[in-house]
Amino acid sequence: MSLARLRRADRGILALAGGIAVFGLVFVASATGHGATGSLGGQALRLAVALLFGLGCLLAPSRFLKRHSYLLYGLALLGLVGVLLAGRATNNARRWVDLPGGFKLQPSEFAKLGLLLALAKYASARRRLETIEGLVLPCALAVLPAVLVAAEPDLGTAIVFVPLLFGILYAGGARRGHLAALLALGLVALPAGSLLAMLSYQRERVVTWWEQDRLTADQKRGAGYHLFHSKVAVGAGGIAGQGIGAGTENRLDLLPERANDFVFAVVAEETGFLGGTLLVGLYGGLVLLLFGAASRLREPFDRLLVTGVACLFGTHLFVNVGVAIGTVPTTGLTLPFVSFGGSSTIAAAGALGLALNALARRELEFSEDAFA
Amino acid sequence: MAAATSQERILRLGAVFAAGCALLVGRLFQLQVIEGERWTRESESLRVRRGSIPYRRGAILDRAGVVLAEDRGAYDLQFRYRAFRRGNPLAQAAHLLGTLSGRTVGLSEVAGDPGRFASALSRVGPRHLLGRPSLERKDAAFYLGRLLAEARPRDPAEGSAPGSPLAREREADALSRRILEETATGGEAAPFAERVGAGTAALEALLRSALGDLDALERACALPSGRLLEEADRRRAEIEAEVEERATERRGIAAVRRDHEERAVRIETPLPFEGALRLALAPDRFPGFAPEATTRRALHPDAPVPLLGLVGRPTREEIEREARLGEEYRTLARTFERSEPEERRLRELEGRVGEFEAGADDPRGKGFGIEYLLDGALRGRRGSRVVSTEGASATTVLDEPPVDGRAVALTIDLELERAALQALREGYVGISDVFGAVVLLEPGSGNVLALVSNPSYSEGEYRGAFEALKDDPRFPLHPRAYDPYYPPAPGSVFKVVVAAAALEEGLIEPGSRFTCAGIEGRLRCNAASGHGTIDLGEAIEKSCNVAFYKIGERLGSERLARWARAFGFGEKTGIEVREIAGTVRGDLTDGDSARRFAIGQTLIDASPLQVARMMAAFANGGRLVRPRLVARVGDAERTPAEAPSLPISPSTLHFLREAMGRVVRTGTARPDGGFDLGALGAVGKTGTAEVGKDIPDHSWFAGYAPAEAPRVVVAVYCERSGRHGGDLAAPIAERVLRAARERGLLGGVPEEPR
Repeated sequence: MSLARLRRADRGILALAGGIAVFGLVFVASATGHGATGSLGGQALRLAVALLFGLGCLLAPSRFLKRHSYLLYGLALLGLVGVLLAGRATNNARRWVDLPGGFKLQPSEFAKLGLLLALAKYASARRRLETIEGLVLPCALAVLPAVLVAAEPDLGTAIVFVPLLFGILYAGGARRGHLAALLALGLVALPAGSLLAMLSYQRERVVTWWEQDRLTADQKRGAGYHLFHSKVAVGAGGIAGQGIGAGTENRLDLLPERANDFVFAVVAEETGFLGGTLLVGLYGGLVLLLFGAASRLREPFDRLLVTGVACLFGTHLFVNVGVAIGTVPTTGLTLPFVSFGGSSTIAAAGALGLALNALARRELEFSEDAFA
Repeated sequence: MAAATSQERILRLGAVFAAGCALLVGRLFQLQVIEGERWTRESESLRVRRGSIPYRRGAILDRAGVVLAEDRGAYDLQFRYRAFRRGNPLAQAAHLLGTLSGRTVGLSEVAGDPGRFASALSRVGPRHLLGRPSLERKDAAFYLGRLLAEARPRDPAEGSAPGSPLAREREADALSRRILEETATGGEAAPFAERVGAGTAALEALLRSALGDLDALERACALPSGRLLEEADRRRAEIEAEVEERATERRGIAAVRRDHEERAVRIETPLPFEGALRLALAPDRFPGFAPEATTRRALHPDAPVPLLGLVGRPTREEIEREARLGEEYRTLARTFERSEPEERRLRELEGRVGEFEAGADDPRGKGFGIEYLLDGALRGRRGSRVVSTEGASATTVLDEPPVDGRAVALTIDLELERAALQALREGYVGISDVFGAVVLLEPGSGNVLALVSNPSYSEGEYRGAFEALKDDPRFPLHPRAYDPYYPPAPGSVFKVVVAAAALEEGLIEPGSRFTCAGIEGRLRCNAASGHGTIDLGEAIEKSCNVAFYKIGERLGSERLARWARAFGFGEKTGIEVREIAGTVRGDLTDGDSARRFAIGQTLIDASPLQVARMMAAFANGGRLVRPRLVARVGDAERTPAEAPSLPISPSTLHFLREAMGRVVRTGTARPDGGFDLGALGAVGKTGTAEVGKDIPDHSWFAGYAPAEAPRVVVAVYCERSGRHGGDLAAPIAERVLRAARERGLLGGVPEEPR
């Protein structure tokens, strides 16, 4: 019975996700308390909706998910096309569709879920991955939404699809040589593609990232503004931080987007190395638990689905934190459950629900074995 | 087998991810722990400006709540050299040509001959910049870019409007870059100005318009023409000297210069409203100059300046003294085990925290008066404001609101002060503008109702003509009421103390009789023909010297001195303001010393305040009160100090009151048609103190009213007036007591003013 799955949901994963969400509430409150967009109540509301959506994904019949993976993927693609046609333009970008009641939705977040399901389904038939031809379709599955998202333009989200693709293909049994060839092809295509696709400000951000240790005053004011101020925030946090709500960059409203994409900078500024490491530890623990659980699953679709979810969270953590501390070029990617944001939180809860769904099934199987 | 491979692969993915996490944590460690200090410095030096919000210094009120001194809002003219140097064409020209010529070009120099400097600017070409150190080249390009951006002709399409400040800055930046590039590539030989089409005339017009703007500002601020550029030149020299002195290896010249250039200095205060308005409306026209909210002290026109004191900006010594006190306080507070004296010192400093924890630049009481003595309470704490100038928008983040200073309520009554001063100035029958003092006290509490001296001075005289006041032979800087330059002998008003002493010592009785023949030894009586045989009451009534010579002889100098001291002579009264202690000599026992002492001469001198305090003891049943001016600080009422009781019996007090009643009815202060102390229910004693050969006598009166239930003690001192106490001091006392009765201070309902 599907409700039994609720009881079997992995406690460790739930506890870590809950802890991360509490972390998020504290720092959304801290950042919005000093003028960042968003509010504590809003984040709590979004978390509540996310909880419902995650519950839905957890309780969804597993057979339905596997059978209709491509359909769900197709729906997600439709959403992406829809946002390009009818989306609301903010800052020259079309990323949101308006919903009745003043809410707005970011279809690109849900596209990740669709891709997860489709890739897991495709790769669960191991034989398909053994030839190089068999890799064309999954690549197309990933590239299509990536191009649509990049056209919004939202390069950060588009790039997330890449580790998702490679993670599932690798775990699904694709040959290493083939993957290396794909990667090489990507690396060749990337400079050409990026020159075409990247907007000038994105290029400049990469340049300033590369030159981050010798930024000029103009760069600090221009393309390197986020990078510089984020690093100032993180670095000035020191070992123990400046105190929650007392960070200079936060208080003076100097670092934009600090309730969502740059929330980690606020965490690091206000709680220092200790708090920053704690959050990375909690998050990393969540991802490693997912990888570990995935590795123990027998059913290929479930195994790859959970692996994909782990890759998704892992990528978000690495890119989001990496952007804040300058190990990754500046791009806008949320840290799910910590950043302020509806679609991101809801989609992440959905992904976690899907993973717990798959894991709970395993336990059911084991218990059935025990009774057999 | 397949599952195992897949399992391994997933675990390998997990390991890769774990390595990624380790990378993140390592980077965090690098930024926060290893480089933490550097980023903290960076964070602190973010382009935020810390401003402060002025507080209001506590008001000073009189006993009726009339405001004697209070803070009102005003504006300062502040000057920041950095913004001026970067934004004002005159400064740009001076710095540019200074860099190129290798000498300091003064701003006033540029202002003096704009034409010559404009033509010099128009000739600057790549060859002038080539081969110079890169820093100089960059500086020169910066200034030249700004000058040329303003001076170059505009396309009709652009319109004549200069556009937004941001657009202008961008344009100037672009020009500066172009200048640098063309210098680096060798460029053409033609001067830059020629190439952007800015002629000498346009440059000269630019300099002249900048001059015109400053002129307009000077006019609006009521400053002399040329003052602003003088100030800028002065400030520039100051900064150079400080940079020279402070630059160290750790903090380079650039950082130190930046700090000093960013610091705001006050050029003028308070600013006329028109000037503040002009600056507020067109801040872009006056780079470097800004109106800064501040406060100014406003005094009531009749406020007694010597008593209140004045506020002013601190001197360097005061700032240093306060820094030392603050350091001492913090060191003591941090000390774990404190010795007894250290503990006492800490407690003392704690009470004075306001003195040295306040902003170093705040106005403070200067040297005397309530403003000085209660400075710690009157001062508040500045609020701080942080304005970020970087980021999406300039945001003001209010950190801390200011804390206003505490109000101080005085015991004095401004109306009485006015009446007393007027009484001194009007004088009596043939004499006006009497130099001297009037003191009014409440006998029970020691509350000072009026403490008036003539001559005195106003705020304007003190600030504008201090030297004249200091050298004035009339000593206006020494309030005669409590701090006279020449302390006067009290004369016969002291006789009440002598009578009380002799009665208490049992040397005489109220009925004791004395025979006065007008002379006793070498000393004369005030009535040349003598008073005949009189009793003690009559001796007081008529102020018979001979009777008191005899009493003095019996008491002797030492006992007289002891009794004088018991009544507070020879020591400070303990009032809040600076006062004299007066003199009591018990060591002169030869010849006529005791006799002279007994009539309040030679061996004793005192301030009128001490005389009033002495009289208060007779009015309140024999307690020596401590006069006080401050009734309340903030919300805290100050309790009057303990008043020790003197060993005087009620019968003695009763006897003296009767005797002093006869003084105002039939004695030396009897009514003469022009005044009537008795009608006011007052009692008292006159005094006529000899000062020296050929110097007019002092005229005294001290008493209290009403006789049965005393509410006000009065002491009047008329310096070298040449009148008897009853002829001048007594009528003045009557005028003042009458004013007190009108104010309702003698009990009963207040009378309508006449």
